[in-house]
Formats: sequence, C-alpha cells, structure tokens
Amino acid sequence: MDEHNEHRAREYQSRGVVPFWPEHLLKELVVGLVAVAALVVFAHFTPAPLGPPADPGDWAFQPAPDWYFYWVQSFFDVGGYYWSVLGLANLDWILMFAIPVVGVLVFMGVPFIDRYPERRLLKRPLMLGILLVGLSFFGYFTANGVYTHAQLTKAEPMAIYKASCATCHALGTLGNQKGVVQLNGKYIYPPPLTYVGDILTPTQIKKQLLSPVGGMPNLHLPPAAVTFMVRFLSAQK
Amino acid sequence: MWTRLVRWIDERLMVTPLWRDIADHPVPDHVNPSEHVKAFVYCFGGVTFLLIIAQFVTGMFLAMYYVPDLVNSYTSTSYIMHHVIFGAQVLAMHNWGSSLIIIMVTLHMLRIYWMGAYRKPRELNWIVGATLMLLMLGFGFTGYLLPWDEKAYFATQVGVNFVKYVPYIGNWLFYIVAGGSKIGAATLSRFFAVHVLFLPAGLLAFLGLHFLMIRRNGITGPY
Ligand code: HEM
Repeated sequence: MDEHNEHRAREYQSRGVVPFWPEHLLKELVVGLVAVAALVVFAHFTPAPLGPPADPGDWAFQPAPDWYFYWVQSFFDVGGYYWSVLGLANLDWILMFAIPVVGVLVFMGVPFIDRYPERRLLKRPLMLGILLVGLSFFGYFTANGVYTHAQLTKAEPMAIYKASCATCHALGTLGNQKGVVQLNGKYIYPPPLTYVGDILTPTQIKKQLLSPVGGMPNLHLPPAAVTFMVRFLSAQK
Repeated sequence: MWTRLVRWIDERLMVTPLWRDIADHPVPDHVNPSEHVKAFVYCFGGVTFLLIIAQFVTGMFLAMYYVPDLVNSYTSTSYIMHHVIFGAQVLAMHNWGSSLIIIMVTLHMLRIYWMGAYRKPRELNWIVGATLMLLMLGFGFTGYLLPWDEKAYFATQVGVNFVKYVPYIGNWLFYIVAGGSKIGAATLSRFFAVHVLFLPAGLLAFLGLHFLMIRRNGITGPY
C-alpha cells in the first residue's frame, strides 16, 4: 500500500492535485480538530444552561428561543404588528404561511435565480443584492428579537409588582402608602419595599415570597416570577 | 498475522476497491489549506461534518441517561449535569455544538454563494444542502424541548403554535406535531423520537446524497 501511495503522490503532483487520502483529508482534519478542541474547551468552562423545570402555569416566564431562532419569532412579532395595523388580520395566513414558503423557495431556488455568466459576486449585482438583503434581514430581526426579549424581561418585575404587590406595599411613591385592614379585621402595616434590598438578603426575600410571615398572603407566584422578583427587590436599595 | 486477517476479511468483503476509489480520487490543490491559506474557506463543509459526528457521539452518550418523560426528562438532565462522570462536559458539548454547527453551515453556505459554486451541474446539490440546513434547524428545535425546563417548554409552545397558521390543515397539523391539543407528554416523546431517530435518518440520507454529488461533480474550480 505504501508503494502504491508514493506512486500516486508523484503522479498527482505533476497534475496539481493531491490524493484525497491521506494528503487532503489529514490536512482538513487538522482544521476540523481545532474546531472540536475549541468546542471541548468552551464546553468545559460553560455548562449547558438548565433553568427551573417547566411549569405550564408560569405566566411570568418570557419565552426565548435559541439564538439562531430569534429572527423567526421577531419577524412574526414585528410583521404581525404591521399586518394588523394594515387591517390584514384575517389574512394572517399570508404572513405566517405564504411568506415563509416563498422564503424557503427563494432559498432553494438560488441556483435558478442566478443567471449571470460571471461567477464573481461583484459582477452578479442581483445576487449581491439578495445576499445583502438577506444578511440585513437576519441581522436586524436577530438583534430585534434579543432586544425585545431584554426589554420584556426588564419590564416584567414592575408589572408583577403592580399586579401582585402594589395593593399592600409601597415602592417609592408607587403603591399603597397606608395600612391595610385584613379580612379578620386586624390592621397591619405592610412595610414599603423601597429599600428592601438593604434590609433583607435575596434568600430572605425568596423565603418571604414562598412562605410569607407577618400577615402577608401567599401569592403563589410561579417560579419565573419568584426569580424576577428576588432579583428586582434585592436591587431596591 | 494482522495483514493476513485483513486480507481474509477483504476477500469476502471486497472493500479495497471502494476504499482505493475514495482514497485516491484527486483533490485539486486550490482547496487544500496547506497549499493556500485562503483555501480554509473550503474546509467549512468538512468541519461541519466532523462536528456532526461529534454530535452523534455526545448524543449517544446522553441517551444512556436521558429519560424522555414529563418528570424524568428534567431530573435525568439535571442528573447528567451533576452526577454523571463527564456528564456536564458531554451535555455542554452537545448543547454548544449545535450552535457551532449552525455557524459552520452558514459559513459553508456563504462560501458556496459567494463563489457561485451552485452553478450547473451543482444546482441539485445546493437544494440538497438547503435541505440539510433545514434538517439542522429541525435538530435544534426538537432538541431544545428535551430538557423540559421553562425555556424549553415555552419556546416550543411559541414555535409549535406557528403551524396553526397553515391554511386549512393548521389545527390538524398542530395536533400531529404536538401529539395532542397542547404541548405535553406526547409532544416530549414525539420530539425525542424525531430528534434521535427521524432526523438522524434523514440527515444521513441527505449527507450521503450531498457527498455523492460532490464526488460526481467535483469541486468547483477557482474563478
Ligand atoms: C449538514 C450540513 C452540510 C455539510 C456537512 C456539508 C458538507 C459539504 C462538504 C464537505 C463539501 C465539500 C466542499 C467544502 O467543504 O466546502 C460541500 C460542498 C457543497 N455544499 Fe455542502 N454541506 C452542508 C450543507 C450545505 C448547505 C446548507 C448548502 C447550501 C445551501 C450546501 C451546498 C453545497 C454545494 C453546492 C457544494 C459544492 C461546492 C463546490 O463544488 O465548490 N451544503 N458540502
């Protein structure tokens, strides 16, 4: 076999080609193994993100797809908004079905759209255009999806405060500033949450939310809401 | 001894001609990264393939511990992370590997597009490649549900709801994809089967087609 290889190698060299094995594949494997090694190292320092177990009743959770799907969700969100502004809400199958199908067909049909005799991209203006439009599309909607998710996540604790806490607790000038009469007629003074981060540790806040003491009712907040509120309240200093 | 054993097997199997055919087929040196540094762009397809093999291996080990039901999908994933030797490493590699593959396939696709390498006779291979891309996204989507944590559940809920918009058959399609009228136990076992059996079968078939066609058509020459 060695004889065979040497013979081939010499013959191939004169033609400006190399045999697939071992000359080509080994070199390509080096590049590939660098990628795998990078993955091994990255994985060593970055554990897979595993959140709390799924709770279908968790109304506070802000769903987030894997990063390479953000554009899908964001496109349908943004598109859906303008679609309804245009009054096309009962034609939403066009936005949600027909447009994606056309997108996949364009993707699959690229070789048939490209009718230029030249192969250099700069000499194929239509294809360059499609590429730039495509890249901006994915770039914009990915960024928008990430941004929207961050905004929703940021707004969530305040919404929970207003819905679940504000009837009793003050937060700065927001919420209830007075005492509260309980069902049993007793009068209690729920403490303001304005500086709660200075007074209670995150663990104590969590404990108070999950099993309240001092006359506060159990709000039965879902896990995501508890996580949001613990982080939010600990920051109230 | 070893050579004799190999010869004995090969007399019956006759793979040597096949192997010689693969090993000896000439590869032009303009795609060889050690001949021209800028030829590294030709490696993206091969690197993707190697990463896919890595996903197969890590996935097979995860399947030894993972249990696809409502309670244990989460607890077994957590068990893998905290109690199985190398479990956290293997799970993290499988998790981040999917992202790396998406990046590599995209770079590979950009190389093809940039160089116009999908020209006749390679149009069909572009279509096969595009199908591979969709299959990889399918892996990502179905795999995301499997740990059954909050983000898995709610992201899948959002994603699967999109099929309801398919005209006429949308609701029926939702029923097929989710295995019921809402995301639940049936969805989980369905996604598991799709992730570890259906999609790999499709992936292998289309990878075979992709590689066969690369071999038949050769690699596109320099401009
Ligand atoms: C699972 C994902 C994929 C794998 C493992 C893969 C693998 C490969 C490999 C190893 C090559 C040889 C040249 C190179 O590495 O650049 C190749 C060529 C090719 N691939 Fe892919 N590919 C994948 C996805 C795609 C996608 C998404 C497309 C396009 C939509 C595509 C279109 C092509 C075409 C047209 C060629 C021929 C290129 C030429 O002749 O220069 N592939 N692929």
